[in-house]
Amino acid sequence: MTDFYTQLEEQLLVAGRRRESQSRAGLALAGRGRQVAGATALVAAIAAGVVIAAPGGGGAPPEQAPARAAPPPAAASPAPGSLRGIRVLVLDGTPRPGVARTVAGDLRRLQASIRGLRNAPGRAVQQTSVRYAPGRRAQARRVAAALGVADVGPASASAAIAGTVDVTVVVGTDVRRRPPVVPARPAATPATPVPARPGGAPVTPVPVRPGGAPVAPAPARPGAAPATPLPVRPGGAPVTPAAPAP
Amino acid sequence: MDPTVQERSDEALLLAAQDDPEEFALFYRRHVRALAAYFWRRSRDAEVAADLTAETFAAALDGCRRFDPARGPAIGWLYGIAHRQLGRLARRGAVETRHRRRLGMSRLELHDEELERIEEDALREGPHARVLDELAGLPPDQRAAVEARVLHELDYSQIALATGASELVVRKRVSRGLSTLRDRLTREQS
Repeated sequence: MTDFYTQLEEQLLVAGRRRESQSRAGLALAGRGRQVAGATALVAAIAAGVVIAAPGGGGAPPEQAPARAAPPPAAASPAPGSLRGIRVLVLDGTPRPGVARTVAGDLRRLQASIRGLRNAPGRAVQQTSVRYAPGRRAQARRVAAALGVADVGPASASAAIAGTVDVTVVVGTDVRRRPPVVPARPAATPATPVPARPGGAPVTPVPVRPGGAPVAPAPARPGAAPATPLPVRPGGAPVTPAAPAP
Repeated sequence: MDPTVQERSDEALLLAAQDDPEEFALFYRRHVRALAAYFWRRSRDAEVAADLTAETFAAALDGCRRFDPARGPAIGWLYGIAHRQLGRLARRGAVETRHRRRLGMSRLELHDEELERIEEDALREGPHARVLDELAGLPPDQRAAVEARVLHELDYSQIALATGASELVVRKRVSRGLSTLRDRLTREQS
């Protein structure tokens, strides 16, 4: 007998697949609508794709620096080693502040166009990796060679949809063990600084009284449950809990 | 289970779920029993708990494209939806079905044995689950900080970056949250 959990899982899978095929069909038309709300989410999706795509443990050890040299630049290419024209998103998968910024700075000095510097979601990433959007493998190899990164692979489908970056670098904790290719100085601001989300205090769900009766939440628009952006404290003003802690 | 799946964070699964329903199923499997148990403890009714669980996951699937890890951990997001479902139940006296309808999911009719199993699972959850209940009762900023630090093992600096608060403030939130939890749980035991 299938239990409740299994039945529900099957329902969700069927529903998810149906939605997936619908959204694929409508992708060409959908365009704008989702882009607005999705800017951050997309970047995060790329990050997730990258993190997920990174081999769990089977990958080459980081010490095994650049496995292959960058392919010979095309006739019209700029000077060898230059990353001019390559749009790069740098995701920080390390707990140490400033590491990814340094990497971004290094890439900028090689004339890459840094399109953003964000935190990679999830846990600490150990191995630095380079992921490329469809058709951008050569660029990714050049970026990887500049950084001495061996792990190069295609990004997830989400990244392809984003279409705003060629290459995503997920900076892992191994990065500091490698001698920097270019002299490391404090990085300049990314080319397209994306304003930090104000506040971003995490999800504030409806408080539930210890007794169990839920405090009535703010009425949501019909059809909007997860759509209603979970309330976010504006400005991120460090809200020190007003009442002294018990 | 595939070890690489175990290692992946809830956030990574939810983000991947935006394109791949199988990823959502992994996220679901991780949390469905605890969520059903949570609902059972609130309602003391396995049928209601099952209904709430189904609607909550339908809403999560329906809305997972809007999940943004910068706003907080995935578990907080899921339980945020769960709280709203409880709120609607309290106001209307019935569990919502809107998200299931939107996704074409029918309401599951459960046999007694299936309902009993939900109840047994909920009872088995024990003290661990009580901590989660108490956690849900903390002020939102403390709750989010404790979840991020303890459940997700993020560094203070990472939480500070994600929430826009200073590291010092995050530390305070975590320590106050934990001390409140400790007080409440000790009080319950005595």
